[in-house]
Amino acid sequence: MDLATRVGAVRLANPVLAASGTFGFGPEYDGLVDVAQLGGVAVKGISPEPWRGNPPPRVWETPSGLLNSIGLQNPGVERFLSEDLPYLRDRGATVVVNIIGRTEDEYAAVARRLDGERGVQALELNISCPNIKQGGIQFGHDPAQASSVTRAVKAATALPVWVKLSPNTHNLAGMARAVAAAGADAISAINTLVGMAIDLEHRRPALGGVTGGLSGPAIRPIAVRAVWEVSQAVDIPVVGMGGIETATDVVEFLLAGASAVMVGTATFSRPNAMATIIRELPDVLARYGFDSVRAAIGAAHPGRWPA
Amino acid sequence: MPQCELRVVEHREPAPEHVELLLEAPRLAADLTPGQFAHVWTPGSLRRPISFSRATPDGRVGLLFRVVGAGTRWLAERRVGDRLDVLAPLGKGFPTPEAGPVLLVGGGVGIPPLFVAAQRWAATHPTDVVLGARTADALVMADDFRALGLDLSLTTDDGSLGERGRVTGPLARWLARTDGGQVWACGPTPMLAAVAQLVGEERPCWLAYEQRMGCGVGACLACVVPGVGGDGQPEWVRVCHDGPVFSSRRLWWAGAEGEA
Repeated sequence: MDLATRVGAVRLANPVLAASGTFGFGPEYDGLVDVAQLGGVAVKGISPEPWRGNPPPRVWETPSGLLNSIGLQNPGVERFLSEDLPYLRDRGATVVVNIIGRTEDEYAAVARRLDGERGVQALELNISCPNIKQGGIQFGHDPAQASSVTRAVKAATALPVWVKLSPNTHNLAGMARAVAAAGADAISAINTLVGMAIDLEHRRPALGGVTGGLSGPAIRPIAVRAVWEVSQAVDIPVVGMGGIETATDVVEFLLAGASAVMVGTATFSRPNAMATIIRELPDVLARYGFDSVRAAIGAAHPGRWPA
Repeated sequence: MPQCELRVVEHREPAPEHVELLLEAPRLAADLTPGQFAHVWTPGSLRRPISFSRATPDGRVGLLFRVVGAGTRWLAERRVGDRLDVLAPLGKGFPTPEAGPVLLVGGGVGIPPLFVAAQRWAATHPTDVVLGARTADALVMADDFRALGLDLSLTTDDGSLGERGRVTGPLARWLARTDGGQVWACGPTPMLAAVAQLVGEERPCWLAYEQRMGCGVGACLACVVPGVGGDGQPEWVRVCHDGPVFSSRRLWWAGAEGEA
């Protein structure tokens, strides 16, 4: 079974990547996850300077899901390069650096700093995190701003640029077309959905940041719908994510139009989730009549339905 | 490889709404450091971090928890012969104590990790114990400490067992009558803040924290508490990976009492 896939110019040995924000920078899972066996690792969002993030509590379990309000805490691009990137680079992992900013210039600054850095295969532009009050999220709702920040980042680096879109919008296809026209090499979909829970015992919001991002199987159908829409709205590849737990889930995303997928929340519960998915994927693909990952991509799109 | 399946060999209910599961785990029982925890799989999205409550010479470890929600309810329903999927041992536990007396201060479900400390070091260090809880019902493991031959000071908020009041009463008296020594504590954050303030900077003071946790291995940055950074400014530290046991000097106390 051929598990290889491509996201634009980025070749992946298999379609399963660790999702940004759930896998740190790799060494945290040392001994539990062999990063070289993954399709790739999207590291935690990186800004020009360190970000402090939101007050705790930062996670809350929900039915089939998880709310988080980390707030993009990160060490900044310089410390990332000197202290965090070497672990993944030395192990030959395919690294996608998720980048964040409060302004277009900040996004571009991180992209410029990462340009030409050995061990970085692509950038993932996070214009959709619901956990910051300013910056990022505004870019995620306005096609003109999203287009503009994509152009700025593309001008700052020769690395492939994936743009991660928010499902918290009524115009997902429009957003996708805007960033594709601005030069994005791929689209990641979806980021978390804005949600909230109340801690009854303490009579206050369950999260220190009050609202948070919902992930996990609860959002999987929304993610599948997003991948379906986006992959038919644009010609660039789509990396799908949202509640993936099994190889069967991966095949669903592939058929919806994803060229690769990311696994996040499932890793918290099952650190070996990605390894298990990669091991079981050949059998599941074969069961549904595919001899490769590539054959499954978009196979459920209209016009490709079996008779 | 810290991920393993461990068999439940005993199920205890030491107090109402409290369960202790004993697991067969000879290597863990020999190797774990007091204060370290297990991240235990439950059917929801997150595992549950639970400190080890004992490590026995016959190769068992204990996990003692209060039933507070769906995850701990599911765990409480495990029976002898069931297997638990655990990541363990995780985190940094209490250090080997310096020479001299040790005071263990435990509050509520913060009591169990201190029993592991007592098991390890009560024979070589003069050890006193202060245990507190809201009510007599929630004060667990007193008999375990007594079985090690230790004298206990007990406090309850409602006076239903021991002295009426908080653990800070017996702690202050111990500090007044003891030269040197060190204090190890585990309990709710306001209790830890009060302990750190009373102990001050003169003596080593090590505190085991609880915080709502995600991955358990330091990746997701969910379980942070305010610490002191290298530049003397506040910075988040991860309970799962940098702790759960911290020197009180590593923690940032301004406003800490207000944090859940």
